[in-house]
Amino acid sequence: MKGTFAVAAREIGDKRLVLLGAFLVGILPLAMPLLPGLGGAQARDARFVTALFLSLTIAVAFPVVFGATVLVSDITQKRFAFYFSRPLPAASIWAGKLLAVLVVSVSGACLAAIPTVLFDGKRVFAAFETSGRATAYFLLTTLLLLVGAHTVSSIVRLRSAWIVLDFFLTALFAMATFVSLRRLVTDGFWNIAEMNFPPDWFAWWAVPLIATLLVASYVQVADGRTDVRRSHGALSATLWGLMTLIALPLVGLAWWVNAATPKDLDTIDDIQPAPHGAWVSVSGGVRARGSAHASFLSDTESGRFVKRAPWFAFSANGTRATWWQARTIRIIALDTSEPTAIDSNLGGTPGAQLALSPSGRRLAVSDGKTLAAYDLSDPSNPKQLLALRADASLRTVLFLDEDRIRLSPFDLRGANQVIAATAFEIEEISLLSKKSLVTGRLEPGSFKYVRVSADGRYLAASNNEKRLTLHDGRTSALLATLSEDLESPKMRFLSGDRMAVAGVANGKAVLKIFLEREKSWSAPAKIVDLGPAAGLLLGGEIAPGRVAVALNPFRGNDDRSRRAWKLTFVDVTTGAISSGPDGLVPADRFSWWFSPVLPPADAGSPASKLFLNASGALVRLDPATSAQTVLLGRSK
Amino acid sequence: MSANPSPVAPAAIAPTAVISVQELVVRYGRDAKPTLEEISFSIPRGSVYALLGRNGAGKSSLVRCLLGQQKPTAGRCFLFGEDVWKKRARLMARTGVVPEDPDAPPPMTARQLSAFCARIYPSWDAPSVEARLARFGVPAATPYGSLSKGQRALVALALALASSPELLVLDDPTLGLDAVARAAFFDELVGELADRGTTVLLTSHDLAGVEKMADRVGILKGGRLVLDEDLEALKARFRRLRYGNEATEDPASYGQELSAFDSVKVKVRGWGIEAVVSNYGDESFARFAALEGVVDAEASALSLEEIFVAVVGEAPPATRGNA
Repeated sequence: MKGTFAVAAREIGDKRLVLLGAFLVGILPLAMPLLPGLGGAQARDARFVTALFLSLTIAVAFPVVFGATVLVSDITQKRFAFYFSRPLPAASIWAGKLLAVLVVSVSGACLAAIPTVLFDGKRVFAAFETSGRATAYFLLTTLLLLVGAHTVSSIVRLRSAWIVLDFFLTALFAMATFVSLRRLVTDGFWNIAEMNFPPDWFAWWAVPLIATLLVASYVQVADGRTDVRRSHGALSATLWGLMTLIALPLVGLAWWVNAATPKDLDTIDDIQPAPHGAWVSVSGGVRARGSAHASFLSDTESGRFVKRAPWFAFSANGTRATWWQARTIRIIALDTSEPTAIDSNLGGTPGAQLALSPSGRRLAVSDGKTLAAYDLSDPSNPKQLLALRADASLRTVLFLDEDRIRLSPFDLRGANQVIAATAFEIEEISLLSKKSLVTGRLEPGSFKYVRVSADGRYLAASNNEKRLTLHDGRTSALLATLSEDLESPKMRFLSGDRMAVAGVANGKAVLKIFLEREKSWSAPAKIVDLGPAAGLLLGGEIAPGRVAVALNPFRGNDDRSRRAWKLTFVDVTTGAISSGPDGLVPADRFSWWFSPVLPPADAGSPASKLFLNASGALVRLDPATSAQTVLLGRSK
Repeated sequence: MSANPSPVAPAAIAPTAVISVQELVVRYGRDAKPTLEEISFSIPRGSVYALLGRNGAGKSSLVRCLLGQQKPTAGRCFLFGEDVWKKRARLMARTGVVPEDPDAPPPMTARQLSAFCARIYPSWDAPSVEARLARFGVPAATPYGSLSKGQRALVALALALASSPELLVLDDPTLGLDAVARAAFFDELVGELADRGTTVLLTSHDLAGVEKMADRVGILKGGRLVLDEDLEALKARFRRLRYGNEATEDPASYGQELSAFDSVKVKVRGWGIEAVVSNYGDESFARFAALEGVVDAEASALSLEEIFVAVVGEAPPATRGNA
């Protein structure tokens, strides 16, 4: 330690004029009010901003400049022999020099800030966090700049043949780290949105990186000593060796998290069945992988699966699906023996709306400004059929048939934003004539959410409270008021031209059955009192005319509530109620929220028999025997 | 006879050796010719060892390895019986160093350098530094970078001696110094040796100065230690022979009469033949002088510089003897 402090003191002594300079720079902003044309608050602002700029400049420039020179210049200018011919351990030389430049860098930034703190203290402390955590991050950043600058400077200035390896591995590691981190973030392993600033991940990667750079620079000094070539070699070998140790677990973790299969799903968050067939989109938390989530297309009959990314769409016949894989649109045919996703040559903004035609042979892509349609005869090389400017940012894109696309209102909340007038419009686009026509318009201010039926014939509009109305899908004409008394009413199209609307009113669950008579949905044909309940989930028809409804005496989503669901089946013709297994809820319970297109009538389809149990597992229910088969999730 | 003496064979490391070098190899670059090739020698306590060689012979590389500043490609260096690469810091407390290129931080004055060293050496004689600087006439309060090269060398010497080292390593310390500075440097060194009997390893191109101090000499040539010997013995076996040759008129045959000697260099002069031999003996010279055709033979002693030139100097092919 004695040697370390001796070296540090000597280095600091060398740089005492730099510290004086930092202090003088800190005084400069105090002269701002003397500038002509500046006075009062304006002068104080100028002083504060100038001081801020100069302090930050020094806080960054000092560690970068000193980091780039403190050890490397000693090596290149052959001054290290002075220290190595003294009874000083290499650790003392290394630590003393780094300690000195760290002290000078931090002191320089503080000295530059002192005059402004004296004059504008309140403002400075209001603008900057001064907690221990912030101080630690400041020191970490300074240290990172120091050792980072040293490493870069060593690679560039020592100029041995190692530089080739350095550049190659820098590119390789940067790419591997970026890809791995992006994968972990997109897989939900790290939730950036929940991180504080300075973000937690700064410490996650900065601390190991700083430790790596420090160890590499120490080995460089201890093993390279005065030998330039050996010094560079020691730095590079240690740096990349340690980087490998850090990067391999990171890459491995990213690979492992990403390699999850549907069998690794612990809890199922969302199920969206294909409109036809046994395929479902399933996503949920992955077992033993932190907060990572994964999404799949899974065949509930055969167990086949394909991993998918968010923002996907099924075709109405359930034979094709498409989604954004990073910046590429991926397409899969689900009606083959071995479904394989194919990357198309279509790129664009991930998250742009995708829609498939009923047969899945055509694709529409809307990025909010432009609507484009493609023929998917060759999925890897789709042929463009249409591209026109169409504001579909808040509208649902739906193929009415193979040649017609309809844009329908979708999200009309507009609490904190001005909604464009086009968002209320219903617009039809013909792929044949390549023309668009506004066919209807919802009244602004009346609705918050609008969903479209799978065939496009109807719009269901909600004010997010008790009112739910049914509109003509083309003209927006009001067809029926489905609810004015139910809290958060749910609706579903049933077979036989029927529709179910369910909700809770005054502590009682109610199911209303509407019947279409000559394109008119008037008053409910039947109202079924389901008994006391605080929560209700409306499922599909497990058999023609038999609707699944889950009831809960509690609100919320806590453990008590999750286990309290009671499944009942309602005969929509007679209104008879029968009990199903406890703890089950319809698997597509969130489809109202997650999908702009309502599920089609699905009487007796495989999807209608899918439920989630209290553990969050996906189960298939045999309505005849009430036997449950766990398909995915915790019980599997 | 050979103009390129064979490398000195590895010797057993003397237990009292202050410096021991074992089969040292230094190579810069995997495929490069070795700068030092299997060098082995040792220096006993109290000895003043002059390591000589032409520029680029590898002297500084050897010194860096000896001081633990550079890891050899192969072989090991020991100071006081310990591996210097592993125990450098501890061994440097017993070693004073005057480098070829003064390497102290330029902004520091000699006084600050002394104060810095005082904090890191187990014992430090700061007054001796002041006294020596005063004797040398070097200002103690002038930044090192502002001193002349001679002054910097003298400061380095004053610092090297202040810890009362058991070993002094001087790497061409008088390179570029004027005659006055050189004299001051060597005078101080001689006085130090007389007082304390410090072991010294010295590399220098100032062979006249070295000759006054050294008791043993090693010569590096082509990366090999071609000579490692006590100076007196070296000077005793090297002689310059001058004689006339009446045995043959064919210049190509000149020198054959020297077969009894290991002639390092043979030159034909207008007046006769001049040869440097490396195994001179009075009896063999008497027999040589009595050879038929050899006339006016005389033998004269050589200075260290002349021996050095004879050993490492490249003779022009036309005048090369029967090497």
